[in-house]
Amino acid sequence: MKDLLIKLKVRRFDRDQGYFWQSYCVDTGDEAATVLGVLQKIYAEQDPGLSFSFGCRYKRCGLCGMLINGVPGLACLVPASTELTVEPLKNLPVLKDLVVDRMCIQRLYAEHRLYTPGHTYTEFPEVQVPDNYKLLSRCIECLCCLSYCHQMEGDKNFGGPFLFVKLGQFYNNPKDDRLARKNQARELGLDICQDCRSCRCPNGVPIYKAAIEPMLSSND
Amino acid sequence: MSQILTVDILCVGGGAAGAMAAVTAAQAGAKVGIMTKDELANGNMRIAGGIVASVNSIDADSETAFADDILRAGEFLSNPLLVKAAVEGSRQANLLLEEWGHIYRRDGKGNISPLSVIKPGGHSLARTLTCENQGMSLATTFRSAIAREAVCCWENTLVLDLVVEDGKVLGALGYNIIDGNLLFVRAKAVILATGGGGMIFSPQTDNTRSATGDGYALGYAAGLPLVDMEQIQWLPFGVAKPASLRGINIGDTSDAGPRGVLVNSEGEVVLRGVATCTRSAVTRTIARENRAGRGGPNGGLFLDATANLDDPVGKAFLAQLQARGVLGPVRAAYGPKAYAWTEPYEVLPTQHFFCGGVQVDADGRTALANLYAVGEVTGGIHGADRLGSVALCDSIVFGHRAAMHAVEGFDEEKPADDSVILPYLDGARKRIESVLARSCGTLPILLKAELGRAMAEKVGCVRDKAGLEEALQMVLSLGEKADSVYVPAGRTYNMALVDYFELEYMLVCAEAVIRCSLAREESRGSHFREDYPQRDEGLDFRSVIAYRGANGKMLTRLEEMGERFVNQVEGAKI
Repeated sequence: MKDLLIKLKVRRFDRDQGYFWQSYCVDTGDEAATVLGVLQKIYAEQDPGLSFSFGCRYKRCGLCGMLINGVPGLACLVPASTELTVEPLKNLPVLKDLVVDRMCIQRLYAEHRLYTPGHTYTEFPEVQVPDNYKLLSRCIECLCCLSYCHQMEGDKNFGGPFLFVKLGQFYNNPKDDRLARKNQARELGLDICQDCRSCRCPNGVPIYKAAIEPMLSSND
Repeated sequence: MSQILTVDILCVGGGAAGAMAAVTAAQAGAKVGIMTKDELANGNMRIAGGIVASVNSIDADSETAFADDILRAGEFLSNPLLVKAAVEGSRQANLLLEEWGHIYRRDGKGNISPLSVIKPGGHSLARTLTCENQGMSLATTFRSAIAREAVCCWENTLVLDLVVEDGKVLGALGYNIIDGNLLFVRAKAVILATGGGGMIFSPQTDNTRSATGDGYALGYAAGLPLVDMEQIQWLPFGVAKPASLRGINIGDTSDAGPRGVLVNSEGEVVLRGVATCTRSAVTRTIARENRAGRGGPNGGLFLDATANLDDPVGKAFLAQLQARGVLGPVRAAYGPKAYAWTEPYEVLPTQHFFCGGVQVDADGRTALANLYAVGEVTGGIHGADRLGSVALCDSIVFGHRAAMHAVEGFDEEKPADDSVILPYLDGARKRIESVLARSCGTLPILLKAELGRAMAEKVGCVRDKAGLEEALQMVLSLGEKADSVYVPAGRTYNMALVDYFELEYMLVCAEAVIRCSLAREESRGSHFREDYPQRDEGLDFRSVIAYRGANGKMLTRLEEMGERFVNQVEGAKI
């Protein structure tokens, strides 16, 4: 049988000790184990004090985003390799070990009025849904895109890729105000994204093409 | 540190049912809060297919036709009053979501029409709306509506207790997982929307990790009857290995393709025409072959879909499945050959949905004043089996109805005094301190795993008396061990402490499932007893109720359907 021993280094954090690295060695007994599976095994068998968040175990809930060997991704989707390094996502407050503060999501919804104006319907209205709306609907709010962003670290007023994807959803929602969303995105620094294109999405949302570029263009 | 806060209406749970209730109540002018263990709009809404039944989506449909479909699927165990309410409210609830910005899939002209709706198995006609990216687009709609209505949100807050005094619910006590603080939210009405309990079968479930049956246990502890907890829906195809993906849903029976067959460990074809079989026929075949010692290495059977590749229809079907993403987990678990259907792969039944739960009436009212329950935590509407796309329909309709009812009545209620609440906070603090003070013991996660294995093996889709009694003994002994678990100290995101709280809920939930399974001495819907393989017509419209006896032990009884609630809604019948 193949040697399935995995060496995992975790960048941990707690309020008393700050950041520190810890190494674990684990035999998953399975070639197809995911990074999340490795973390679950360590938690159950070696270190009940290790914290990470997860939910659905396959691609839906967005809770297990982390840096895996330096790359932002969902721990449930990335197969475990024999040498692994995991760290919390960047550009988010770290609460404990791999757990970041995701409550910012709902704060962004409120602060940036991520809701459509009220409507009253007695019938389902006729709406033409742009393709970009469908593409942007793939966002599962895992916040992995934030870790790619160079601008967010030093610029507190910059919206960042997650918020631009959200604004893109409303820009493409026929029930919302297209122009207002575009202006909102530009006020949040969208123009800086023009020449960057660094951000990626593990779930395949074409962030630049479907959200950023259309809102940067002057055709409206 | 602990805090006492006050709202008019508190929703416990922030999934589809809880969010719907919260937004409805807020729009009606109430001050509303959501206490949720998950994040907002997470939970099983995210693993759902995002398909929602809606009556009269096409002209040929009618309320009677939709109700008949639900009743038929439920095999004479659905409460007709709940079915009536769900059917009548389905279109309005879906329109409300559209008012909040949601967009169900439209046809090429931008309308809901026969071209845009689908017909999941068991529906007599197409009436089901679908969403972009499954449950996710509903989740964003709920987040939007919650933000617009300025609902107070306590995310990552696990409910520890529903506080009941003199038959009235005063509010809920929560534990903040992130900072370890306690929170009491007093309310004039509490709406319980904690979802299901799939984790008692973990990992053999497609549910999200937070589905630990919290609401069943809380309701039971508060003295509420649980109805038909034996009725648990299984999907035919879950991943068998690796452990990290075990139970992830990889399709319905039809997804075996026109030529898919099931093969046992002896290479024998045990089921042909899988695609046209019912879910229960497939899940029972897999379970029975395993009981006979002819199962696959991981408790499943092999799905051999290779013959589909000899057939243009089969090939086209595979391409479609791949495009829909259904087979993504197959590739992750078994590799590219299985994904291309050039080699068989092991599949096993995976737990999907609790049809039973807290007993409610058509307004989501429970037997306790000021306490409502909505969504998967409730029982009665789906009877013995649930139709596809009616779970989200159930959640949004009853979330809305319960909130409307609660808002009407709350004005005369006075919030409870601090002096009543403080002892509860104190009790919770002491409970946590005493758990954290232990220096040795078993980890709660290991007991959870033991529970999941036993439940999947003995209380799965094929059951018998001996197995159920063994499982019951196991659950009772795990209950004793749960009293002395070890939880490492730490207040911030202490997962082991969360596991400890959840384990207690899961044990109550599991006990209710087992006791109801023992009490239902027949096979009906999702519940199959090897020792009573036939349906007993004498048990039509008779629910099994699990309740807390005078001695504190869990008991069961048979109850005529809806007898307690029928008279409350005048003239309602189907």
